[in-house]
Amino acid sequence: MAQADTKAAAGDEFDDIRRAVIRRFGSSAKIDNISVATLGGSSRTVIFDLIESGKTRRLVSRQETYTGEEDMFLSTSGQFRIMEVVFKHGFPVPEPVFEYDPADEAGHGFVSGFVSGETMPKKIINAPHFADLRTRLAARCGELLAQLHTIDPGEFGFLSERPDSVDMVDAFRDRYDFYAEAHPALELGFRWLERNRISVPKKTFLHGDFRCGNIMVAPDDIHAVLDWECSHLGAPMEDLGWLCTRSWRFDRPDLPVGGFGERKDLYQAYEAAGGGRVDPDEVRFWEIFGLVRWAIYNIMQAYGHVTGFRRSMAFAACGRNTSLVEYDLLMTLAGHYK
Amino acid sequence: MSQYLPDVPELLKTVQGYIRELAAKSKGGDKYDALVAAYLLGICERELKNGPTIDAKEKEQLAKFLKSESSLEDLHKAICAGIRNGDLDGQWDELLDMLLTQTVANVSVVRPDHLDDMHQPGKQ
Repeated sequence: MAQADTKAAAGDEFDDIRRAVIRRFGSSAKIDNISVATLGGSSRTVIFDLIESGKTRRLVSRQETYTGEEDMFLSTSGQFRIMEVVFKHGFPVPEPVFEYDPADEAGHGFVSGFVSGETMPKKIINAPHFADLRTRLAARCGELLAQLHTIDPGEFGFLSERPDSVDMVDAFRDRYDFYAEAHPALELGFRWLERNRISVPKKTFLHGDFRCGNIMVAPDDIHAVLDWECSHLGAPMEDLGWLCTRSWRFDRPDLPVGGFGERKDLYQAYEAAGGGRVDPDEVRFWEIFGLVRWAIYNIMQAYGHVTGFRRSMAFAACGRNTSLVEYDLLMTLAGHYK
Repeated sequence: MSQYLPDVPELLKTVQGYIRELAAKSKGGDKYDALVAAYLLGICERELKNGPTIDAKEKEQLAKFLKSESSLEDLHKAICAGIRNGDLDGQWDELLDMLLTQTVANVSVVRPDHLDDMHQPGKQ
């Protein structure tokens, strides 16, 4: 993540954050040592020191930079509520500090504690100083997913009406139809999912995007799980399948769990931590769904680019990269990729 | 304008080389964008060279499979509809083979090194 260090001074681009901080911590509260993350998609991320009552805390502000696609991603308000619940349960998540409200004139977003660590997938997967962590990372993911899945889903009742919570496959078919593009490979993927549809007798709270890139690690452990914008209620195996989806193995497709671990370590740890029995066939169902889903995210980014809704070099590439995901999907359906 | 050099593929290669140099000198978001820009120019270069042949082959395969002559766009729509309504369930393996072949061709334009060894020329 590229950052620009900026000294804080009243009257600058950080007045909205300063105003929000003063409203909550008093007029003597100050912000300083500000960094702006310059690589961000849908949000403005600002890291700063909060100085109040003689104490300094490093915090992160995350604000929505555009609205739209509400159906696809959870609002920052919903994410903040989730973080409050999981934090209360001792799950490793940045401490939720406060949510912006209209009087802040800071738009939609929230402030949380700063957690240091590595999120870059290629570093987690390849760097020598994470070699020891990698030997136990799949199991650790299993434990954390089990912990998450055993929280009473009733605590996340506000998610129950989300299309993803009602039926994940249908929700993504509707999104695919919205873009009105003809992708035979994705149709074949949807058809396979339809013909092999699984039942979800009891819905569980899911992170929804649990993979390298959204876990923050240090050499000793996972220190935080980030990005709760895809959270919903659904089948617990979906979170395991997403973590094993080929696209999320990056340059180590031979290691099915996130490009760093083996399935047996993930499954055994998940079951041992009380997550329930793992059904490998159901995990495979969700891996195939995961490829369909990831292809549709790429189509979505390209749509944003070509319609001018939000243009970027990367989003342009996403549209063409859809074919790479379709290839992985067809290779998986054909049994060449495990 | 074919009498004038460089031709379009060579122009693209020239701009791509320059952007790669810029990427090497850049940092953060600028470096990332420059690398993606060079990647996109690579797609343009390969599509200019191979796109028409790939599209013609895909159209021929789809027309034969569907027993219907039409534009490539309409053939795509027709096969999507056939898959969705289950009409093609009985030809699943044949369909999967054909779509995989076509997707291999598309990936060879976008990012050839993404293909498995079984689809890399000389590595099978």
